[in-house]
Amino acid sequence: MIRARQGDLDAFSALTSGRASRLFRVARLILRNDEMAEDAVQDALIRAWQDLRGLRDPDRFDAWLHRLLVRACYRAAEGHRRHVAVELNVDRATATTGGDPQGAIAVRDQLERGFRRLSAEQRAVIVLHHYLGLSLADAADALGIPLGTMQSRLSRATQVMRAALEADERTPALAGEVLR
Amino acid sequence: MTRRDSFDAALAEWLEDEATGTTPASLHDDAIRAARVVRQRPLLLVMVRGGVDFGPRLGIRRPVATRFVLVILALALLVAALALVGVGGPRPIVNGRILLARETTAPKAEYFTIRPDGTDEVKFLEASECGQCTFWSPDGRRIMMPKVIDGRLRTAVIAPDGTGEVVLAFPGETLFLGPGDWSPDGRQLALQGFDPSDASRAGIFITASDGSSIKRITTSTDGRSTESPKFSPDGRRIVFLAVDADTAPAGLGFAGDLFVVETNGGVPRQLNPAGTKALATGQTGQPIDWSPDGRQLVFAAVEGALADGRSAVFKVDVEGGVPVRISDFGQFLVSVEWSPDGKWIAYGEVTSGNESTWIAHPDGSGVRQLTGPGTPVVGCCATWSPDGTRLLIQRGTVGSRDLWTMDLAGNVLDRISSTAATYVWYSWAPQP
Repeated sequence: MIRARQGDLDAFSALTSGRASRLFRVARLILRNDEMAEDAVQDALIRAWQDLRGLRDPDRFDAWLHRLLVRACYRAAEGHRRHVAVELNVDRATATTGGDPQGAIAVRDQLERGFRRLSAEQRAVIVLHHYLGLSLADAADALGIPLGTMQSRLSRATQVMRAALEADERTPALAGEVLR
Repeated sequence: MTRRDSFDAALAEWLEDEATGTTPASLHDDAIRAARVVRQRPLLLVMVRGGVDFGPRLGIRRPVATRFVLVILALALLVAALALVGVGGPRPIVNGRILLARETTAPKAEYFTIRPDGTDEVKFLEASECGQCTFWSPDGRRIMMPKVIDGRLRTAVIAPDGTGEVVLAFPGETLFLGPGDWSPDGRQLALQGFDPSDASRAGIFITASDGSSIKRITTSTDGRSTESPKFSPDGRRIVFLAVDADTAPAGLGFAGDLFVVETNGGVPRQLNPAGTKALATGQTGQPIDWSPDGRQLVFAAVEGALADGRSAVFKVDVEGGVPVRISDFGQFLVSVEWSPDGKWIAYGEVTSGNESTWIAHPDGSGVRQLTGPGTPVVGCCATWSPDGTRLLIQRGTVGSRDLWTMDLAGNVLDRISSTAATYVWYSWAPQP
């Protein structure tokens, strides 16, 4: 870290090479688009290199890098809003479920649709908290927002997803009644 | 499980599954490549842009903190400026000038000397297929180099600033005598001789440093050429490499058997163990080196099939004895060099894409990898500073490297050269 802050790009490369995959997965979840995720990760890594001297505490490197990544995702989402594509990978869902593939696919489809309704900011709090497993305080720190904002943003995002799931759960029943 | 827990678990599982996928192989490399052309921002600029990370528990608003730190920084800069004005002058130079050879269009290279702070680069030679062919005198005031006149290889001596060139006059019309090594007292030169019209005249020659009193100390009865002569620290012996024709893998240089011979003549004695071949790159490193007390030698040698490159560093007592392997086996280990204080041996691996540098104590203990895979530094081919506190390495990817200094802990220190290229040879002027 010290060498990287002194301008040693090789040291920076060694520092970040093991983190690139995780960054890509996070960006992929937030942006729902592989190409944009690649751009966001590269954007974040370049900005991290440029501004590394601004990181005062080496122990906070991951939190700081997450913040840069999330901001890069916001920029990517803003710049490519019309091009965001959502993919539903049926094969992967089927492959990882147990004895009820149709039910599992339905739940995943509902989650996918709920997630799609979230803003990039809301996706970011979901991903950091539920995927990376960061505490609310750490996720707020990584996002550079106050803890209260983090809590309300997560609560709102969860409500949106729950609402989407519940709405989807009601739809088949209604459809069945009509059919009868 | 509550409904909330169930939702959280389902969400976490879905996120985990959605995140699964192949990360593009070149993602990180592409980012680093892009970063290579981007400069790091000065701290002041990072602050102005609001990019400073103060952590979560500072307890003050970010803009206030930024302004506070800016004031502190401005004061620090003012104090530093005043201190600089008070001290004045450039920082002190450690050790003497550095000789370096930068490949232009292979196999051509230009040879320079440069101050260790990267200034005052002076070109003194342009040569082709030369590599390791320029050598500092023991007092660091002269350089021995090749000189081709009318198609005949000769040897010249020149000052490090490129002035005062003297071409040594040698007897005979057909004998080629190229640079080899200076005797420890600087009064004699060991030269590599060969005659294109008579292979039997090849051998190691010793001459006075003005070219007089030339004598041949080895003969070539088996048709092999003799290369890389190196005087012992007491000047009584010379070690050299009898090169096997066309045996070294392409790009490696050459391989053969190592011999030691008294400078006053006698029968050369082979040093490398049976079944091994000593390796030399022909550039960026030497195949063999004496311990500072002159009692031992270290060299790199291949065991088994040469093309396999299974090689290691060996140490042998000059007075006799069995060579002892002191390193693990690697792929084409070369560039063996004993530190001036005798405490360390530097060596390197030159396989493309896997270039590495290590140092170890002479008994093989205390191994430290300084460059290559598994370290933060991409680079290779170390040579010692005269005071033994630093190593000179070339750093960067193949074809785009510069010379840097490194301490014995593997920390990159100062950049010496500022022209990205392939450096085929470099050495630090000895301290008289």
